[in-house]
Amino acid sequence: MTTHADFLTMHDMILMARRNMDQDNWDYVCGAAESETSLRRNRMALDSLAFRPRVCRDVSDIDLSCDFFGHKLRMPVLMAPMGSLHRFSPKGSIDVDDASEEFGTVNFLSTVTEPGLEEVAQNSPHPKSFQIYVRGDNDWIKDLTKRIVKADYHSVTLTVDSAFYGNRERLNPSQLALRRVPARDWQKRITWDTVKMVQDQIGDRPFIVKGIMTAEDAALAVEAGVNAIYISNHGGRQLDHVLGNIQTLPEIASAVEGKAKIIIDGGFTRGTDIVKALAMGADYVAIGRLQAWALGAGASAGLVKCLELLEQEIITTMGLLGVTSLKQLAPEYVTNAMPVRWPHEHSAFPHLGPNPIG
Amino acid sequence: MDWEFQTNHEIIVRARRNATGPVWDYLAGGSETETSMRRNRQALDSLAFIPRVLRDVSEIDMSTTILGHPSSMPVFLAPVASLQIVTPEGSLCCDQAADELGLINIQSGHTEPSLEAIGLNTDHPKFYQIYVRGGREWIKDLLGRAKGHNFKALVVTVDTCVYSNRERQKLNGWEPPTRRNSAGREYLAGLSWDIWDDMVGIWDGPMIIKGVGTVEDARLAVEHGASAIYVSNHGGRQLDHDRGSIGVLPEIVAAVNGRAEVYVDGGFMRGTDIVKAIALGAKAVGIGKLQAFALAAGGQKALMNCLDILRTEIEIAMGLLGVTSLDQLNPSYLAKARPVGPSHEMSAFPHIPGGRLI
Repeated sequence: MTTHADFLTMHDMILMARRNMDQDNWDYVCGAAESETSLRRNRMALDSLAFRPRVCRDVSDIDLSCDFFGHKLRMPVLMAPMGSLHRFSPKGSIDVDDASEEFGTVNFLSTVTEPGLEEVAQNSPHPKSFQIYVRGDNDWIKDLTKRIVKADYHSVTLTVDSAFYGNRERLNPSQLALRRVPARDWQKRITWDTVKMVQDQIGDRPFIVKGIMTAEDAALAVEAGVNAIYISNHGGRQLDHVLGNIQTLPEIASAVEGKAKIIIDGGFTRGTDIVKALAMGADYVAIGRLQAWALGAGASAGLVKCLELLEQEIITTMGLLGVTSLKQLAPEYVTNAMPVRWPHEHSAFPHLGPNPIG
Repeated sequence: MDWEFQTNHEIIVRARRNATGPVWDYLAGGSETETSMRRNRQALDSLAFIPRVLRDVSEIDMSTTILGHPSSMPVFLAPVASLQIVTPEGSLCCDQAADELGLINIQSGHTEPSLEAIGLNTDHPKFYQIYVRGGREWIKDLLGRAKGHNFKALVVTVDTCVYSNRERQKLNGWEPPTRRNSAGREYLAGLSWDIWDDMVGIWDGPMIIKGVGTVEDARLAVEHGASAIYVSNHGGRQLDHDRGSIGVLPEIVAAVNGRAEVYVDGGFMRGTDIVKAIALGAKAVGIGKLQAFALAAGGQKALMNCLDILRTEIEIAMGLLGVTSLDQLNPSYLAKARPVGPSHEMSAFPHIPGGRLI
C-alpha cells in the first residue's frame, strides 16, 4: 500500500483513501446499519444548523487548546475508538497512537483492534483511553480492567450501544463473520451494574460511558458518577433510524447540567461541524470515519495532516464567527436552518465527483 | 439597443466558455461545503409572491436613491475583487456600465485598475470598498485618495478577518491575486469597533458596513454611526454554514428600524429576487456573481446587456405583482414557500445544459 500525506484538502485525502482501501475495508469504514438512516441523520442534523457570525471583534489570537482531565489538548477533537484499524492502516492502532502523540490529542483504543492494550500503552507516553467491549463474564471484565490499570491508561470508556451487532448490509458474509463473533453476546447483559463494576475496578481514572442517546440515560449516567457522557449512535452503525447526534445534544447538555463532560461524535468531518457542537454544549468532539479516511490516505502522517487541516478549519470558523477562545462559544452563535443537499457520509465534500447538484 | 444575449442563461454559458478553469472556480465557488452559498439561493427560493390584479401597471417606476444618490433601479454593482483576471479592463467596465445606466458601482479595494483611474473615469457617484490592511496612517492615506476621487461613500468589509477555505481553488492548486498578497492580514484580523470609530472620524462622510449577519451587529453598527447596513455573507465565500442573506434581512430591517439604509447581496440573479428583497425592506441589492459572469461573457457590453435583462425582469415582476413603484412593495406581497429543487449557484437558471456548470 502506498500512502501519502501531501494532500491539500480533505477532498484529496478521501480520494486517496478510496484508491488505497479495498472494497471490504471501504464498506466497513463508510457503511452503517440497514437503511443507513442513522448515518445520514448525523449529517442532516449538522446541516440543519447555521451560524450567527459577529463582526468587528479583534480575532488576531485564536486559542483552541483545552483541558482533558488534567491534560492539555491542542484542540478539543479526540480520536474515536475504531475496530479493525489493522486491516487498513499499516501499523493499525499504533498509527493512531503515533499521530495522537505527534499532534497532541487523546486517542481511544478499541477492544477490537490491533495491536492491542499493552503494545499501544508502551508505544508512547501521551494519555489515552481504553474502550471496553464486554466479551466475557464479570471475571473477564475484572481481568481486563486489571490490565488497563497496569498499563496505566489515562481513562476508561465503556461502550453501551452494542447489545446486538448492527445489521451492516454493505459487509459481505466473510467480513460479517470476522466481527459477529459469539463472545460479543456478552454485550447483551450489560446493565448499570456493569457500569458500577467497571468504575469500581479502575480507581480514580476518568470513566466515560459511550453510546448515550437520550436525556434519561444521560441523567442515569450522571447519577452513576461517570466523568464524561459520550453521545454517539456509533456512526449510525448500530440502531438504525435514531436521531442525528447533534440533535440530541441540547437535551442531553441540559440534563447533564455540567456535572459531567460531554463528548460527541457522528458525522463530524469539518471545522464548522466541530464548532457547532462546542457552541451547543459539547466539551469535545470525536472523529471516526474522518480518522479512518486519513489513515487510509496516509497512515500516521495522513492523520496528522488531516488534523492540521481540521485545526485550520476550526480557526477559520471561530475567527469568522468572532470568537477567540472555546469558552466564548455559546448556543447564541447557532440557529436552525435547512440543509442544502441530501446528506450522506461524504456530503460535506461536494467536489468529490459526479452528481454535482444533489 | 440590440443586445447579443436574450437571457442571462446565455450569458452564464458564454462566461463558462470564456473563463479558464481557475477563474471560473474563483467566480462560481464558495467556501468549504458551499453551504452558505447554496443557502443564499435556498432562502430566496423559500419565498413566494402574493400577486394583486386589476391595478393599472402601465407606468412602472423602479428608480430609487442610494444614500441620496439617484439610481435607475434598486440594484448596485457589488464590489468584486480581482476583476482584472475576468476581463482585461477590470472594473473600468463596471464604472462605465454604471455611468451609462445610472447605477452606483462599488469599487473593490482589491481590484484593478486603481481607485484614481476609476475615480477619474466618469463623474457619476460611486462608492469605494476598503479591506483594512494597514494601520491609521495607511487608512488615512487611502481614505484621502478615495475622497479626492469622486467616491461618495466608504464601504467597510467586516467579514474577512480570516481568509476562508475555498476548496475549488485549492483542488486546482490556484489562488487569486488577492489571496497571494498576504500583506496586512493581521489588520483584517484585528478590525474592531474602535478602528471603525476612528475611520468614521477620518472619512467624515457616509459609511456602509458590509458583512453584517445578525441583529446584534446591525444595532451596534447603527450606534457606531453607519449610514447603511449591508447584509452579506460574502456570497457564501467566507464563513461556511451561515444563513442565507435574505433569510436574515427581515430581522435586521426591524432592528435598524429606519435609522440606516439596508442593502443585501447573496445569490441575487433574477428580477424576482430583487423585488423580494425590496419587499422585505432592503433599499437596494448588490449583484456580485451575476456581474462577474457577465463580465466574463463579454466585458462592459455583456454587463450592460445583463443589467438590461435584470431591469426587464424587475419590471415584469412588479407589473405582475400589481405595483408600479418600489415604495408600494412591502412584506404583504410575500409568503413562505418551499424550494422546488436543490438550490445552488445556478439553480435560478433551469435551462443551463446539465443544470449546473462546474
